[in-house]
Amino acid sequence: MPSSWNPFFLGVLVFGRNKVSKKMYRLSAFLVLFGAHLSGLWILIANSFMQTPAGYEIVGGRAVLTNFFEAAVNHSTFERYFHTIVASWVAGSLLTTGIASWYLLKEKFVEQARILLKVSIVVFIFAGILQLFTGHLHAVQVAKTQPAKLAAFEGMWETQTNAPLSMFGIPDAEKETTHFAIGIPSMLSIMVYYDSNAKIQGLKDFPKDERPPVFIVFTVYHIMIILGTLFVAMAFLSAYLLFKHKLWDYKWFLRLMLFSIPLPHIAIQTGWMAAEIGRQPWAVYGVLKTADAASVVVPAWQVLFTLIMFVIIYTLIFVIFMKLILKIIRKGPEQIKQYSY
Amino acid sequence: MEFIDLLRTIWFVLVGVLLMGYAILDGFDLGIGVLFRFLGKNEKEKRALLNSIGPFWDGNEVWLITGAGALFASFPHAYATVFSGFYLALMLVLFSLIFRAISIEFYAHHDEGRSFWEWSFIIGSFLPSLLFGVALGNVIVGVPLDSSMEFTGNFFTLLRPFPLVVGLLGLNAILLQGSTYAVVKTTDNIQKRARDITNKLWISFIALFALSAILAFIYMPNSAASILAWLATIVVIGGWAMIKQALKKGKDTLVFYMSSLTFIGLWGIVGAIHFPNMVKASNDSALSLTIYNASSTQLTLTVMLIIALIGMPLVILYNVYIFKTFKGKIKVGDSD
Repeated sequence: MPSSWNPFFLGVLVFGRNKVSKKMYRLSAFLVLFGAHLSGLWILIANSFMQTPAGYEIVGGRAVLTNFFEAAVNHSTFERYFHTIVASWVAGSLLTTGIASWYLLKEKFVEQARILLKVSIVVFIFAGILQLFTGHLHAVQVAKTQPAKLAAFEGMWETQTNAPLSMFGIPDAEKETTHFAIGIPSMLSIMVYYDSNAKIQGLKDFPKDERPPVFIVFTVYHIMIILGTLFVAMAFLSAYLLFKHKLWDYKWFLRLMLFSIPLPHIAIQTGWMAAEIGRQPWAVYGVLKTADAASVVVPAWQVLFTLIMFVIIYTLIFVIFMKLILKIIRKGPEQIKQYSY
Repeated sequence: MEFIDLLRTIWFVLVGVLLMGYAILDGFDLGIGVLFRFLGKNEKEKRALLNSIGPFWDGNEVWLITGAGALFASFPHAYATVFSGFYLALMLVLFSLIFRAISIEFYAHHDEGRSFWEWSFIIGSFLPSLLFGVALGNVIVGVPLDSSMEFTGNFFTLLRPFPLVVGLLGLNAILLQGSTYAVVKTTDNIQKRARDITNKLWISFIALFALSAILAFIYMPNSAASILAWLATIVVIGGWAMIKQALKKGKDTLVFYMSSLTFIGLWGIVGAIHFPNMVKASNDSALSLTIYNASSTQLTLTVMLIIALIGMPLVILYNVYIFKTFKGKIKVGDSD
């Protein structure tokens, strides 16, 4: 409810340029910014409860709230909130960085594009590097509260001290091993507990029917890690060019930023896949299995049908959205005046 | 009354108020959507209609999200029964609302697809406007439930005479919201058409209202004994009569307010004859979901009430602010 003002003040932002004072217009922008962050918080609270449930007890086969704050601020809310919010900052700043770079490559709207590039890249540098820390904190939280998920992230089967940090591998659930595993020795133990002798649980510690599908979890997690590392490198490169006042001097850099637009979205999607598939077979970790959570009166074909519909509808929206946003970007900033249909 | 029963009653009313707020507010932009081709005869007029709802429609839909969210948190059993039992119907509503939302933007920007988006806006407005009432009619008259609170009917169970008539009545009320809103927000030709349409809807409304009342007496004989329902009926009839008066005198804003008042009266009747039920069981009244067996615990209801007491005034405050900011008529061609 606190974030429900977003559509209202978005309305002011989009339609109200001539209707409200400059002060109110600016305030609306801040309220939308603040509201978006609040929405994110409540979404993450709900999802984090499913990852690390707290503040409840089971009464008659049903979870009942015992402490609101424990449920809301459960063992993963803050780690996961900051990690996802900063991911959005990366995605947003790389989008505007990419658009500005495209204008500069095409030598269109150069003056505005330079301002946009500068502002966006400062946010990107900050967010890209900060994400390294939020990611680390989140991984530590997973290790301590959802050990089966961490073991799947790392493709690690045996419980061990001096656990390695996995760099590459092809996990094989049937043979309970990870082929071609390459890792940095002891690094995982050090990163989680700051102690190379710390013991980390492997997948074999969990009954077979309580392990997540390891191959896909391992793969999507590593795609996210690779992209996150790439963003850190890009952030340092951007910072170097910013301080040297050479942001718009190199075409290859502008091209790099342009083609990076989709990357944070891939990182966000793979990250969420790692979080959600990594929680399997649980819908609420350790409490309710996904199989038991399904509605008993909805036939499977209806679920399949609506799933297909979602895929069709979102594909359609995506295609047209891309077409329209490209059209709007091509028009450039000078065309924008009072918005109306 | 025990404290928890007081909380349950408060939340029964609050969920109703949220859904009523949705019906009144999103009602006018859904109505504009269904009447799109009747109100606007060329592209400029249609764009003016879109501009009249532009700053509001997405905020209005928040009321539905909040209403469903409040239902989920305060009466989880009722939420689970309805959302699983009416799965296909509610998914149809969801897909309609998705299409409707994007067509408002895409109509304006996607030149090649304009007529497609126009129709998806119309159909996407029509289906929810009809199906919300059908769903409500089912909940009131009752659906077959088993002892574990699960819906045992199918999609066609939902299409019985009483729910269908309630669906049509709801559709008519939403169309009145749309046409009277157009009377307030537009000028010249569009406004003239809006007045004509309002006159027609005014007649069909009372016919459908009478038909629903007769069916209610047949299917739910007890409903005639509720004094509150009769009081709400007076509100409905009074509001309905005033629509015509205000229309004759050219008091545009009052026309819309009276249409909204009529809608409030309808929700009053629903609340009065339905309390304390959440989802009635048509096969055995002992299986009905009520505020007593479907609610959350006292702690959950208390925490929610605190959040609502902080949140609701805020929501109302910025609703009022936004309507003040964007008051005034939309003229055709303003977007050139």
